[in-house]
Amino acid sequence: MEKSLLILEFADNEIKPVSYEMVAASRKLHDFLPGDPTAVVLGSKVLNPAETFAQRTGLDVIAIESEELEYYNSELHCKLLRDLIDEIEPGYILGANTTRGLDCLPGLSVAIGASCITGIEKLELYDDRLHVWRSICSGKLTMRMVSDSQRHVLCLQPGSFQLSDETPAKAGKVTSKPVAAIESRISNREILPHQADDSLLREAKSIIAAGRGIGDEENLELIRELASHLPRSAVGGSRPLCDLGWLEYGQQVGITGATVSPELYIACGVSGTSQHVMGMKGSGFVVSINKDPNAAIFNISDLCIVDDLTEFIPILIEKIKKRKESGEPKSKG
Amino acid sequence: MNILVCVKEVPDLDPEVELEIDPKTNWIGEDDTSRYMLNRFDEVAIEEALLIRERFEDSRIDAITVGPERSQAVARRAMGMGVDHGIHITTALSGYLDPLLVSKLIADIARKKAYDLILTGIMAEDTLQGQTGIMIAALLGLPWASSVIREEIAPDRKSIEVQREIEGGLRDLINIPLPCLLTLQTGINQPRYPALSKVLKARKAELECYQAAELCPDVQGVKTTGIDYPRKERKGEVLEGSLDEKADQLLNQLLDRSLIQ
Repeated sequence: MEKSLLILEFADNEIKPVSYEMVAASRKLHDFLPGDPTAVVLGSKVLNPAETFAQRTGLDVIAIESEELEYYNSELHCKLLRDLIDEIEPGYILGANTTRGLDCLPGLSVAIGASCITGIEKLELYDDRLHVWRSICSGKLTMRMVSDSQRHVLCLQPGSFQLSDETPAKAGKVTSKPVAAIESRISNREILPHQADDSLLREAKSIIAAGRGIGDEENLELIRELASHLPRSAVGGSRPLCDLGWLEYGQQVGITGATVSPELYIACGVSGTSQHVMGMKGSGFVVSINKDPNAAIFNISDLCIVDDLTEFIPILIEKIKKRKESGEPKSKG
Repeated sequence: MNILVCVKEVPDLDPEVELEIDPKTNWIGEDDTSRYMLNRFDEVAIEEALLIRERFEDSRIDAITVGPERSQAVARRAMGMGVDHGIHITTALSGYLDPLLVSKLIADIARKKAYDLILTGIMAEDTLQGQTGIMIAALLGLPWASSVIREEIAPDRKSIEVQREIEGGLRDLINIPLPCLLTLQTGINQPRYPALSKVLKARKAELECYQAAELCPDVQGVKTTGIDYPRKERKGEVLEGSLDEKADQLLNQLLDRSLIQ
């Protein structure tokens, strides 16, 4: 029997959706390797959310509650999880590939002598062993990996696993685990709000996004002009353009920026890293313009235009303008 | 301040360069024409170290890298940007390197040198794992923070206040005693270009070299067993024809879907 431990993602007083994806992944894991999953959640007030989670998933949940855990602290999380893992000895530890999961889990893996794989998108049984698939090279390639260790930490990419809606026959049990006074060298005092205003992006019906592939800052003018011809539009972009100062951080689409789902998303010179894709994959219709035929963005696009955007977009703009001038059908004005 | 920056060689991921896959090694294909570069996320770590040295002028910066012989070039590149000293741990094989192995090799060297601060990029552009930095800290028993978008070392040099960028652009504000390890998020600075005079000097500089086989850590790690191109998650219809024809097709599709008036 192969035990697994699911480290639930807890933030803003709730258990995050990626935690439910962990349950789906653990079912897949135990289809291959029979055994039982247990979940653990850490925070300052986690009992009620843990109850809800146990009811919805049927999983037993260990709730580690302490005032010291009001804010995420890598050192405390690692210590408490290590103690728990020593006690229940799971072979597989599943966590979230989020900024907090990625902060804690590689360190935890060292502390418990486990291997660690991040960014996991798929589990596969191959040669009677559990292999995982993950994206590499800006999402242009994907690789399969296997761990030779006795114990494995797997960080699951949010959005990769889906839990079915069926209610479990029996609710899971929540066990509260008391925490003795613990000390940490790290002090975590507060969470600062988002520094930039991304309301324009969130409210837009169409988003025209620019990526590093636009080449020069002046080519942003093309993006802005295209946007001006589309209804309720906003200009967005990938993180590198914000880092360069070409766009405001409030215009960043992605994990560390805005998550958007406009009716139309036109990606111009965007490579399609998961950092960006996670922020826009809920968009209605996705058009990508990129001269790199292997750009990962094409894998999540409805329409692909493999061309130099500096040549294509001016032609597109001219055609939109001409249509408007000819006045048919009547624009709303 | 005694600072170590960990840097990595990655394949040139320029869109103009076709990425070949090698089913024998289950990794990106390598031949005489393959080009390699310094991981851009690590340039951010180098730049931050240089900025710290400007604030604390008695600081010294080492850059360390692990990889085959040719990857000495990225240590020299770091020196071209202004790093004082380069360290290279030579591995027999090129191709995929397990982050735990790399961390153990770097931790072995770092343990002997008493660094006040160790910096890395947030992840490598090729493997996108984001593990090596944190594993080094865990192996050395140092506190760490990842995804750091702002740092300020206290004037007494005993602690550092950092902001970690988390989902949705929020930030964890934390305080960590030195010595510690930080992995840096892009946007914390704008990495400088190497100065020609420094590049020329770096080319001749002597690197401190070790053989991975001699350090020989025992690692039951992770290996690659397959490599492929990703599957399409949407229709991915590729428009054909002249630019003019493609623009017409796009416009018609947008009109059909009422995405444009």
